Amino acid sequence: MSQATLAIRRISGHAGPAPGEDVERDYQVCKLIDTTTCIGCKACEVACLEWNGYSFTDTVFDNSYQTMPETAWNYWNLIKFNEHEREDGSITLLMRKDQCMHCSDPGCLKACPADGAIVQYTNGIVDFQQQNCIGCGYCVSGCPFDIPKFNPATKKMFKCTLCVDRVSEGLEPACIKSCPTGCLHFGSKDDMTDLAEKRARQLRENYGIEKAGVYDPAGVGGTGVIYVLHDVTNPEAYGGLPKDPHIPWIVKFWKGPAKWIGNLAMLGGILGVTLHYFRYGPKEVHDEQHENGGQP
Amino acid sequence: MQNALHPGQQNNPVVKKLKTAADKYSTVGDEFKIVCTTYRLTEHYHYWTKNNQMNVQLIPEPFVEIPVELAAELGIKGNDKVKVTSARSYYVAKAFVTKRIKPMTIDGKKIYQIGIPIHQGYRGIQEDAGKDARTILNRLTPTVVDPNAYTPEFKGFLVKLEKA
Repeated sequence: MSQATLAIRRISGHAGPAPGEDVERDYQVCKLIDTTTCIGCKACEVACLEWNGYSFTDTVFDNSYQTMPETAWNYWNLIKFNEHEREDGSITLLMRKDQCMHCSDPGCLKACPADGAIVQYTNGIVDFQQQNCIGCGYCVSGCPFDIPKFNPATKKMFKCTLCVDRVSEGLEPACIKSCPTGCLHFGSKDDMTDLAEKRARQLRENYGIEKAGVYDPAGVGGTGVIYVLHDVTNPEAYGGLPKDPHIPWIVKFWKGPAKWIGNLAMLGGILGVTLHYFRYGPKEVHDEQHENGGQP
Repeated sequence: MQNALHPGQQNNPVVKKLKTAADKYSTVGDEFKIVCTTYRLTEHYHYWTKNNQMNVQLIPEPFVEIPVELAAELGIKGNDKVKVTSARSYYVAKAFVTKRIKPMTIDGKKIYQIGIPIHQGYRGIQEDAGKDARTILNRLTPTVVDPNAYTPEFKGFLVKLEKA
């Protein structure tokens, strides 16, 4: 799938600028996860491990089909299962593929203090560069989805890369390739949003699932991973998907206004000390203090 | 439940009841009151995947799916070790308390159903490491076939459930 788009430089026999010649198309990639057709087979979990070369983990049964409680430094995507009881008392087993959402306004990037440790590409993929990572864990505080995970052995943070190594060569991510039901889709953000809206409308109109909708949170500027949910008014039922995710205000404050307040404080301090010196001179030490060995 | 067409004849009269020591059948009104069924999972494939690390990672241990109502009655919580006994043998695994199986009302009585995946056994990655009870599901099931078509009827049988 080519990411190159044709841009017009000149056209013949035309007065004035050519239509669309100054349009710059940013090809944003997007992964669409249709939870309504997911069967919870975990092929995506395994494909991700195999592509990224991770070995298998020792897991323990914990009253659920879920492989482990949450994603790990070596387990980047996880199907979260929830036996949800609807208002009418019926039970439904909700399954949602949990991984990095590749936000347009990434909280991890905003919170990270290390130069170049987190990179956001023009196609929307947010990638960790482990060689620049200092292992501070600030990205965890910035992420509203609780995704970045720490490797205690190498002291680096890891998460889903949206298979940036595959996408940059024109292939789809490993999870999408392995999905047997075709509930995972990959393409441009526009195409995937369109497909998602179509599917949500089909669910509402043809199947009577009135609350079906697309989960593409505006609080983080939209995400590179969008969901079609049976009940978009209750995303928490899908294994804790936050209803209105946004970067915590304390991270925004600390990386924004707090820096300027800090600068002001430092500058003010230096200015104050200098002005005080010029006005009052150096600290005066009186004779008695000399005799008493410097004690006032 | 009474056979409406032929009262007094509950079973097919020509069904072959095997007489070896391993073939014991339960009768109506005895201690085995819970219906049990067996099934397969997506994450495992019959018996060989218990030797494969990838599959064992996805579903590491054998479990018994128990309705919440039955678990509450017997005082079983999720992850507790439970023992399922049929007329023939027993099976030990962890309890998976689920809302997805509902109790049935048959002939005015409340009947519970439990479900057990087949995939674990006595050799495998977890079994060789001593991490599970190494009991096989096949010890629980009866050897009954339809006398006409020889369709196996192994998947529906009666058991009792208790904490191990």
